[in-house]
Formats: sequence, C-alpha cells, structure tokens
Amino acid sequence: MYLVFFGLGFRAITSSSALGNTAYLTFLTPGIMAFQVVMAGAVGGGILWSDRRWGMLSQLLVGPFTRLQYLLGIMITAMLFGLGGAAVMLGVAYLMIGAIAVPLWSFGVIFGAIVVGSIFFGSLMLFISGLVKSNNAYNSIQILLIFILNFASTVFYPLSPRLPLALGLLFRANPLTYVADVVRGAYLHQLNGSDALQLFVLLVEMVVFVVLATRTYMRSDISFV
Amino acid sequence: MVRPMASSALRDSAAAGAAGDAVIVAEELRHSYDKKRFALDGVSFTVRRGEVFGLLGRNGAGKSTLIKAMTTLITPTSGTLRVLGRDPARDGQAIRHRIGVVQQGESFDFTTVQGNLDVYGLLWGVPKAERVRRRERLIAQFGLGDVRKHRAFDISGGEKRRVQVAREFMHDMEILFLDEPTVGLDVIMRRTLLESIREEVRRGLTVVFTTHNLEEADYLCDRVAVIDEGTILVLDTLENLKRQYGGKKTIDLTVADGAADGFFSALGTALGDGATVRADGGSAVILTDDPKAALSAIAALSTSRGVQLEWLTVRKNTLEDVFLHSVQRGGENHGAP
Repeated sequence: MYLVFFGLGFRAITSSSALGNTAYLTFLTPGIMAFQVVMAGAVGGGILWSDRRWGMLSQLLVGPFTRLQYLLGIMITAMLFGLGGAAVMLGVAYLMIGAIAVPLWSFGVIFGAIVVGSIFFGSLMLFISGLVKSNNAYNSIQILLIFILNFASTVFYPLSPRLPLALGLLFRANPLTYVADVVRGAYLHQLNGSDALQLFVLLVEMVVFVVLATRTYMRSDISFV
Repeated sequence: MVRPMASSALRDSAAAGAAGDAVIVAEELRHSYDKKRFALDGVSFTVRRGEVFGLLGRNGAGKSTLIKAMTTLITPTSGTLRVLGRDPARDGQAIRHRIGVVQQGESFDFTTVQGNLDVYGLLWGVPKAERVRRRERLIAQFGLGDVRKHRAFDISGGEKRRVQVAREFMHDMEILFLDEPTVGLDVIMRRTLLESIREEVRRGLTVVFTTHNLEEADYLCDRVAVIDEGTILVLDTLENLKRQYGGKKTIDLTVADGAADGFFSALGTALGDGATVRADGGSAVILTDDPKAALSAIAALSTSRGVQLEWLTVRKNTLEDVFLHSVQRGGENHGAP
C-alpha cells in the first residue's frame, strides 16, 4: 500500500533531481523493500508475545528443545517474513514500473541486508517483549517504535542536509536507514564504501541484540505474564 | 510454629531402592521470587518410578512452584534437585524429552483441537502414522470427537482441559506432571480422566499430581505430601495416614451465638493432649482419640458454663481432616515407608 499510495501520490510533487535523477517510484521501491524488515520484527515480537499471553510459551518451554532453539525459530520466521515481504514489494514494483536491470550480485547484497535487518529488528522486538509486563504496553511501544523507525529513515525520502540537527542524527542512527541505503544502493547500482560500513554496523547491532534477546529469555520467570 | 519436615530424602532414597528407583529426589529446596518470601522453604522428598505422588496444599502453598522447579521452568534458589537422575538446571532439555506437563493455566496453539494434538506429536518427533493413530485414540478416549475441528480457544473450559491432558499422551514420557488437571471438569469427565491416568500408571508411568480435591488424591495417589507455606508438613502413604488418623474421630460442634468466647479454649484445656480443637467463631472441629471422654468433657463444660449446644456430631476421619489438621498444626514428621 505504501508503494502504491505513497509512490503514486508523491511522484507528482517530487522532483527526480532531488532524488539523484531517479523517478520517485524507482527511489521508493528499495525503501519499501527495506521497510519489510521492520514488519518482520513486529511479526517476531508478536509471535512471542502472543505465546506468552495465551500460555503457550510456558508450555513450549517444557518441550523437548532449548529456549535458544525457540528464539532462533522466531528469528528465522521473522527473516522469512522479511524476505517474503521484500519479494512481494519487488513484484508489485515490477507491475507498476516494469523491470529494472539488477545484477545477480546485487540481489545477493539485497538478500543479505534484508536477512540482517530482519534478524536485528526481530531481536529488538523480542528483547522489548521480554521486558514489558502487559499486552497494552507492548503494543504501545511497538506502534510508537515502528512509526519513528519508518519516518525517521531514508525509506520514503533521502537524507536532507537541511534537516534539523537532532532529526538528522536520528536518521543517521536509525538501523532502518542502513538497510534502506544498502538495498537502494544495490538496487540502483550505486553501492559505495558508506553502504558497506552501514551494513557492517548493522551486522554488529544485530549480534548485540540477538545476545540481549537471548539473555532476556534465559530468565527463569520469562514465561509468566 | 510450623515445624518443617526434616530432611528425609536420603532415607527415602534408601527406602526407594527396595521399592522402585527414585525418579525425583529433592533435598532442601528453597525458592524465592522476590528475595522476600520463600515460595519453597526447605522441601525434601523423593518420588519412585511408577507411583502416583500427590501434592496437596492451599492456594499459595508452593505446589505450582515445586512443579515448575521439577519441570525445569525455574531454577530453585538453593537445594538439590534431581529428575530422572539429572539436574534440571544443567540438563533441562534431556529431562524435558522424557516428561509431560499439564500446567494449571490454559495453553493452546491457534489451531483446532485436532491440530493441537498434531502439533504436539510433531514437536516430539512422533512419526506421522503413529501420530495419527495416537491422535485418533486420544480424541476417542477423551471425548473430543465433537469438537475436533473447532479452534481450541473456542471450546468450553472442561473441553480445553481435556485437550491439554490428551495432548501430553501424544508423546512417550516417563513422568507426567499434572497441575490441578481436573479443574473445570464435570464429575463424569473427571472420573474418566483419572481412570485414563490410572491406566497409564499401570503401564509404568510415574505421575506427580497437584490437586485441591482430596477425593481425587484418595482415588489416585499412592503417597501424598501436604505442603503449606513452602514446606512439607506430612508425607506418607494414604494407608498410613488413614491408619494414623483413622483411629481418631472428629467431633463437629456448634454452640449458641455469643457463647463461644472462652468455651473452646476451656474445652481444649480440659481435653489436654489427647485432642486438638480447631475453632472458628461459634463452631469447632475436635480431633480426638477418645470420643467418649471428649463428649463427657463437652457435656460437663456446657452444663457448668450454661452454654447451649446447637450441633454435635461424631464421625470418622477423612483425608480432608488429615489435610486440615496437618495445615493447622504444622504436621508431624513422617518419612515414606
């Protein structure tokens, strides 16, 4: 829906010169593909919170597997959602703007960025869902976080030098910006050293949050809401 | 003051060798959720292979905490626990492969009743043909045929409970932990469920069972432990408990309004150590070895004080009396035979 409504709605008022001589829909497509990693994270956190709320988490924790295996299962599910969502967006974009020549290695970079981004956001939401004590609190935090992550990133628009300082810093610190920039760079054959650095930083953040989420779920009382 | 049961796990273990090996050994278990109050406060016991071990206690006594410790959900703050010879804190996965757990609360997957059974079979790696066979047997055995295609969340409370118990039998296990499994079941289904469990016990399954329903404990359990405020007050076979308390009688007594003040404490003094008097307002329950002497004392005291008796019965002790008197007095130390 973002691709259709934003893409068609904003293209009339967005100049391609502001987007590096790229049509808005072409600019937006990799951003929306990157955006799927946030939705993947929401799915991951939602699965775990739902299991906690309906008693299934404590039942699964007495099952024949480790807590780490359970968490990895959720992270893999989040990753698959991210990849699937990105593929669907690519398909919708193909219908709207036609084919764009993307080398095979670029798909590898896009795949890698989506995987790392999905696992990062999945771990982030798992970590948050392990800390909160109520469904209302979790939903509120998730909605607020997704809103900020989405709009304080380069998913829908480029990073403008005219942004207020604080907002500019938020954009630059937002992991979704890294995913969007890397996917866009690969999609438009415009990868550079900065994108490589962003992907590396995202990888480090992913590892940190996987560890944090895992440690949260090793607590004895985690299954009780 | 409640006198906790002294460590008898070692005695139990020695005795257990003569009557089936110990599948659960607990020694001085303690657990606190908030570092202020101990939900378990020095619990020691053993459970032998093939027995049905009952945990009785009031709400908040520590039964569920003990079940959580044995099923690897929590790690006790201190003490020693071995389940199937392994430490739950270190070998939790190996233990969980060999146990089943029916928890007190509801827990379902977002699928049908049939789907919930299938998922469980899948999780435990049961081959497909065997999974289908077990699923169909359990659906029939637990009376779930009419609701098999319904979402588990949409069925009645009693049906949900049956699903939770049935799905544990989708996989092989050596110990089944049941945390109040018959809550919400009608009388017929409760008996059906207990008989199904008993059938599995005959096939060698060990069961650890918590309940408020003392009739169920009487029907199913080989040994019971009465737990209160995190300590075990009484631990013995039902036969021994009934023999010990069965020789006693219980007198239920009610006096007229306003006359109870001082009457029951004077009665307790008059009866001495041979009886215990548990008073609640204008009523009292008296446990005594010598009901004739107790009745004489009641008659003499009521006459001398001019107290009118409104209700007086003498009856045999039930398991409920064992439980209530144990909780009240702090129990006596009994090791398992």
